Amino acid sequence: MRIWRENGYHFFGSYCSKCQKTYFPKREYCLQCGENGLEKIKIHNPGKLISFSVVRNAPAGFEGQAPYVVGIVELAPKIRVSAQIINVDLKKLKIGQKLISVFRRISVADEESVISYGLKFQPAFQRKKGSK
Amino acid sequence: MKPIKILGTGMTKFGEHWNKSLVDLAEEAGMKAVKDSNLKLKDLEAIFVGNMLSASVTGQEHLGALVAERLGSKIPAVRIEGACASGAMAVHQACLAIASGHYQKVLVIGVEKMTDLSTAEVNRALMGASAEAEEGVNGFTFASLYALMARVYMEKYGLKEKDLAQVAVKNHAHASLNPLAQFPFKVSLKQVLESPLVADPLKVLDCSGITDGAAAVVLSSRPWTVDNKQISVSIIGNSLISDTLSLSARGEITEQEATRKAVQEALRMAGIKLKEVDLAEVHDCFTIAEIISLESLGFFKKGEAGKATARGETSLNGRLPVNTSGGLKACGHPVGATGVKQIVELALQLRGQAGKRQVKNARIGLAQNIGGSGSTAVIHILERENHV
Repeated sequence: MRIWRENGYHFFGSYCSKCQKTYFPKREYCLQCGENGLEKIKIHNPGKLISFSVVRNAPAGFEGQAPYVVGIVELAPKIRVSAQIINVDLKKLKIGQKLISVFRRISVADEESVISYGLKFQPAFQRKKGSK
Repeated sequence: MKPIKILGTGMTKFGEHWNKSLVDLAEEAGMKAVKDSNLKLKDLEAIFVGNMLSASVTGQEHLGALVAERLGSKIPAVRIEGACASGAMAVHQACLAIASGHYQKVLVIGVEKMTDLSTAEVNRALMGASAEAEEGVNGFTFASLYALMARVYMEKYGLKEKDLAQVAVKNHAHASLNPLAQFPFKVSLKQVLESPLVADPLKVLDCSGITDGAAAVVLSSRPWTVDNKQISVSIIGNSLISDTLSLSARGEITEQEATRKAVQEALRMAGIKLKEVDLAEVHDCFTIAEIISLESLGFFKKGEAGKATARGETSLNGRLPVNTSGGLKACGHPVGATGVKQIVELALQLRGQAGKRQVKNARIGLAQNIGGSGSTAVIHILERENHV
């Protein structure tokens, strides 16, 4: 559970220094040399929007949030993640747009459950006041 | 591969069966298939059950023994799970078991009971087929995952929402000729385009429904029953390929790599060329899925399947009828049953028993069943045997 949470709070990958191979998401063994003990690496922002949609019929646990935007974000070549996208004007959202990750509440199942936190994305540069 | 005979087929009406349990549905389809095969229940040597959601919906697991008990049988019985490809995966595993020589007469049942849950609960349960820790946990739905593919595809190839809608119009027209379909009525292009958004750009009528139902086939290594009036249909090629669970881990999201690989393997096994295929049942859980599937199977060049659909090439009277059953879209999508239903539909077509939706002189049929957003692809190729 702890590892799962840590993964939900940062984007971690793995690096095999012997093979000079990067993996995402994080894994334990190198697929090339089969060795254990890979180096944990943090994947950085910003990312680029690959595609997006709007969830209007929410699944259980998300009913109160709909409609909300979801998308695929590319953080580096071949490193992509699926996440919610917030603080956007849907009409202006475009494929290729720059986004950064922010730490947010993801869902609340009910009053007695643990609140789920994780990463969402928002536009990398907020528009200045008065600009178009 | 050595052809595997389809001795019998059976299915329930697809729809909302509020008075029937999962095992009631499995029993009905299974008994119909056994009757159709002219075998007796006691002749069966094993049962394969395809199902995805039984535990999420009813709490019941251990479906092999559950179904065997209902059929009054104490033979080997296993449950196969591969998300929405569970049905075809069960057929595939049954074929391997027969090919190994271990069994000669096997019953395969695909079954799903979905309407006991609310739509929100079903949508959440189905996300078990996705990369749960990335997609399910963040509030994605399958409609939104396919919508991500649709948006990129539309931008890349200039496909319009009305092109997507054509797939729904066609498959509803086919379903209107299928008495066992969940939605046996036509819809207009206008109705599809004016239906409410589910996950932009996909609308309600771009999506398959939530369905209860079961389908079954009796498979065998050789024809056990001599009935000269019955045309024999065999599985002559099949293949199962996996891909990443998460959509984001795939480089290209406007094609299904698992489907592309699986179809090549299945054609090689069958020793036929794609152009010999007379009709196909493909995985149209959403309208965009049929377009991407048809291109990944190689029936159309990339970017062309939408236009071909609009021209009627994939309609009942077109050059390649696709989803004559109504597809997942309009026949319904009880997820574990769908892959078996595709085989049932093709077998009926090849035997000439498809009623008002009969494709004339069909000899070879192809079925493509997908699990998740393309994480599993199963292909089956069926052939009608030529009698003297």
